[in-house]
Order: sequence, then C-alpha cells, then structure tokens
Amino acid sequence: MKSSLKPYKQQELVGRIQLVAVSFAGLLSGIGIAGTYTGAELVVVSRFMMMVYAGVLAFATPWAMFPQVSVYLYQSLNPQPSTLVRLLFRRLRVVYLPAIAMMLAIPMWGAMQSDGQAAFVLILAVENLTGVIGLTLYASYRYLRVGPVSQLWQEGKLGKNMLKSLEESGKSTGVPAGSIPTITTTVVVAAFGMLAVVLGAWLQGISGIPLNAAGALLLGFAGLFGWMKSSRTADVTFFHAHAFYQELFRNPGGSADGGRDPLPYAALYWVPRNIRTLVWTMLRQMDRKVPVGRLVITGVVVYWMLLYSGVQDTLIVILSPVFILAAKNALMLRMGQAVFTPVRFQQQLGTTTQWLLARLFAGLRWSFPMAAGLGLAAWLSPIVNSHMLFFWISADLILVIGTAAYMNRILTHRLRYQFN
Amino acid sequence: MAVTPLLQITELQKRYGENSLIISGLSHRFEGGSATGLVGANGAGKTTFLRLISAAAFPTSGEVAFNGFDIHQHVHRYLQHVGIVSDTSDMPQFLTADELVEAVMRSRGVWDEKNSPEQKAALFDLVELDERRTGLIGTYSSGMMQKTMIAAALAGNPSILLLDEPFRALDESAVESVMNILKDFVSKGNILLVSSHQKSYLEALCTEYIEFPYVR
Repeated sequence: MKSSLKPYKQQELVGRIQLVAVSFAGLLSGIGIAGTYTGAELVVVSRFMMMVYAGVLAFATPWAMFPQVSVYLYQSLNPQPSTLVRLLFRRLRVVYLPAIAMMLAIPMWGAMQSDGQAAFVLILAVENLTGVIGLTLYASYRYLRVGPVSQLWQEGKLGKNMLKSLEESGKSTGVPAGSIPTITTTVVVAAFGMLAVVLGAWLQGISGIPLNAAGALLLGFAGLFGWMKSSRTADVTFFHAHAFYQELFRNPGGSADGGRDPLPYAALYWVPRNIRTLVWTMLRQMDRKVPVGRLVITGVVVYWMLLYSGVQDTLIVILSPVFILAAKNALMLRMGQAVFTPVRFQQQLGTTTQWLLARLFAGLRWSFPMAAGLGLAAWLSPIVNSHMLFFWISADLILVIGTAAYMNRILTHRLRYQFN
Repeated sequence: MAVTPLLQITELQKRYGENSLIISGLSHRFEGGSATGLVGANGAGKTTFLRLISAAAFPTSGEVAFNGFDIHQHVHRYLQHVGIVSDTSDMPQFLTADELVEAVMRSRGVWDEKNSPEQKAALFDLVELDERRTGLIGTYSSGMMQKTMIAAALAGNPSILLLDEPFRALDESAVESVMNILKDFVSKGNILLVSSHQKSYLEALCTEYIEFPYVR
C-alpha cells in the first residue's frame, strides 16, 4: 500500500516545491525591491508593487483556477460547495502566496535597514497583507462569476453579433466570442485593483492616518460578500465556470496553436539526434501551456529597465536575474506532470538516460537567450560585470541540471511503483 | 529478411505486495502469426498480465523473453518492437494525435521526411480518426483517444501488439476497420495479444486463448 501511494505523494511534492520556489522568489523580490529604501519610500514602493500585483492577478487568476485535472473526482465525491471554494483558493496559492511573501518582505527588510520603526513596519505589513487578500478575494469572485456569462457569449447570439460587427468595421479581434467577458473582467480587475491603491493613497493623504489598504479592503469586502452570497450555489457556479474555461483553454475544435506555427522539428538541430524527438514533444507542449519564453523575455526586459533606472545596489543587481532563473526552472518542473509526460508514454519513447538528457536540453532552450540578454546588460551597464555574468550562467546550469535530475527521478519512481 | 518474433513466458508469477497471487505458473510460447485472446472476469488478472509483458510491471518470479532476451532486463530494446494500447489513456494531453504518431515513428527510426507524412495520414484514415487529429489530445472524446492509441501502437512498425480492450468506446464502423487492421497484422507473421469482453470480436480474431485467473 505504501509503495502504491508513492508516485502520488511525489506529484504532490512537486507542487509543493514549486509553491516554495515561487514564494521564495517572491520573498527575494521583496527584499530586492525594498533595497535601501526606508520610511515613506517603502510606502510608495508598496503601493507601486500592489498595482503590479493587481495587473498580475487580472491575468493569472483564471489560469491558476481552471481547468482542474481532478474535476471528475470532485463530481464523484460530490463535496459540499464550501469544499469546492476551498479547493479553488488552494489552486490560487501559486498566485497569492508569492505576493504575500513579497509584500511582507518589503516593510520587514526596510525595517532592518533602519533602526526601530516597529509600529510603522507592523502597520505597513498589515496594510500590504490586507491589500493582497482584498484584491485576491475580488479577482477570484469576478472570475468565478464570469464563467457562466462567458458560456452565453460563446454559444449565444450576443457574442456572434458583436464579433460580426467588429469584423465588418475592420476590427477583427481574432478571439473566441466567449473570451470577451473574460477579457473585460481582466481589464476591470486590473483597473479596479489599481484604483483601489490610488484611493487608499488619497485617503491616507487627506486624513493623515494609515488608510493605504482602504480601497483594497472595500474590494475585498465586495468579493467576500459575493462569495458568501453565492456560497450555497457555489457548486453550480464552480462546475459551470470550470466547463467554460476547460473549453476555452483546451480550445476544442480550434487549432492547437491558435494560428501560430508550432516549433518545427528541424529547429532543434542543436539537440543530439537520439533525444531530439523527446525534446520536441516536451517543447511543443511547453509552448502551448508553460510560458517559459514569455517569462524570460519579460524578466530580461524588466532587468534592463531596472539598470536603466540607475539602480546601484549590488545585491539587487546580482539577485534579480537569479529570481528569473529560479522561476524559469520552477516552471520547467510542470513538465513532470502526468498530463504532459504520462509514464507509459515516457517508457515507450526513450530510456531513463535519454529522458534525463532530453529534460536537460529542454531546460537549456531558454538559457541561451537569457544569457545573451544578461550579456548585453553586462556590456552596456557599468555596474554589471563579466564575473556576474559567469555567476548567472553557472547558477542557471546548476538549476537546469537539478531540475532535470529531479524530474527524472520522480517519473522513474512513478513508473516503478505505479503497477508494482 | 525480418526475424520471426518469439515471445516465451516461463513460470510467470505476480503478486501485489503481500496480497495473494494474481498470476502463478503461467508458461506460454507466442509465435509469429499467432493471435491470442485473454479472457476472464473483471479483476481476474488480464490487465496485470498485459502490464507484465509490456514491461510496465515486473514479475514476482518467472521470466518473459523476446527473441531470447529477458524483456525486463532490456525494456527499451524490447519496446522498440511493441505497440501498446493500455487500459488507461496514457497520452500527453498537449500534443496532437498527429504529433504523437510522428514522435513514435521518429523514436522507432521509421520516419523519413519524404514518405512518412503520407503513411501517417493513411494510418489515421485506417483507424478513422478525422481531421481533428491536429487538435490537442486532451480535447478528444474517449473514442478518439482510443483511435489515437491504436494509431500510435501501429505507427512504430511493431512485431508485437498488446491490446487491452482495444474496441472500448469505438463505433461500429471503427471496430470493423480495427478488426481488419489486426487480421492483416497477424497475417504478416506478427504476434497479437488482445483482451476483450466482446467474445464475438475475439472469436473473429484469435486462434488461441488464455483464461484468467491463471493460478496453478
């Protein structure tokens, strides 16, 4: 019995490692962002980061919540609506836990740079925590409610008519009709989240008392009220929203790549021939579901902007790329999930050693552009030097090898224990 | 000239943990051109047997040898000759059927850029998987999943087919096509092992049977 549970425990462990990794990245980001700021500067930085969180939340919430692999299990076990709500928030941890870590690290680290200020730090930490919780409650509720509405748009006349009129006026959106309410929700969540921060800052400015989180608190109450009001029918809303997002994200009936050209086999000329097929199957799936490329590009661009803004703190300069590298490799771990690499598919396509090498090469795919981006920074910026570049490349190699080895171990064990 | 495949099972025994024996004392010789039906009630050990001879499970004792070598000692070498339709839809959800079959062909070394795309399309036509073969596997119905698994099992030009309930979820027309494919496969001197609860299908295909539970 013990051995048969092992693969499932390991799968759960991968999820926990990812959660710890992204939370740790959030913590380090908070430290890096706080830098040498103190007092009122920390308040301003916190507001700015809360706005960034509102933007991230607006995009990431539906992806984090839906679809869920275990939905058929939920239907069979038929849990109480409240349990389904808890499961949704459990899935959303990957978004709000790193934000909490970051938003708490900002005042804490700032306090360590200056003496005392315990009350100030405590108030700012409570404000930041309230802000994250408030925005998360609001965003999650909005996205849960938009599922059934989106279905109407997807299958009813309203969406079709709107798309038709847009096409006739030469403004084709290229998106399915059902995603219009979701896109609107994205804009609303981001805009309301940012306005809530501005409102808090304004209230604090005119009253002189710590009301930074007042706007987020209001949104949080709105979200909480919505959750409570619909708690008895949360099961209906959950399954309806799940059904819609499953259709939207899996794109049945549409092309697998939404009109983009998928990675050609020939593009992998840099991969040894005997593992090229394995790498190809991994990267094609990653391009569809695991946005490592976008993360690396965004990370490098943000880093260039950081350098351009004149940051001088060596710790921030060195650690910032490490966060991106950690996040890149944490995302790679997703390829260890059964939906991407079922164990028998793995067994039939290659040996354990071939898969280890394939995971290594797949991990290296974004190392080259990342190193080039950082190399450019080292060339242009007076503060970044070649030693730092060497450190980042070494750190990335270690992380890529560690990630590949860990994934291999998990999948090999899963195969060994699943049927024995 | 291709070597005639030979699968030799000797005194095979399997138990899960400390539970009672599922299979015991099973010895059998499967020669090229044979089609063997695995029959028995649910939970009798058919799937366990297929997992054992597809090297997804390891025997408690005994040996399974393919052309003279122990398959559990040389898993990858053995699986190069095997096509599998398993009891679960163990396929990557974010690949298309088209890509999966191509990956199998490439990994078995039977892909060539000139002819294989046509061969692949012909294979999908044979199993009656329509144009949705270019959609993600995760979006397929159970019948389409089954057709994809059958196409992937055949794609690598195997000499052994191990099929666990291959007709499950297939419509009548697809069943007929798959039956014809399997008869053709056996007639070429290959080995077929198939489990099914549909006796009429087995009777039309198989020349011998192993009945489960098999505990001697």
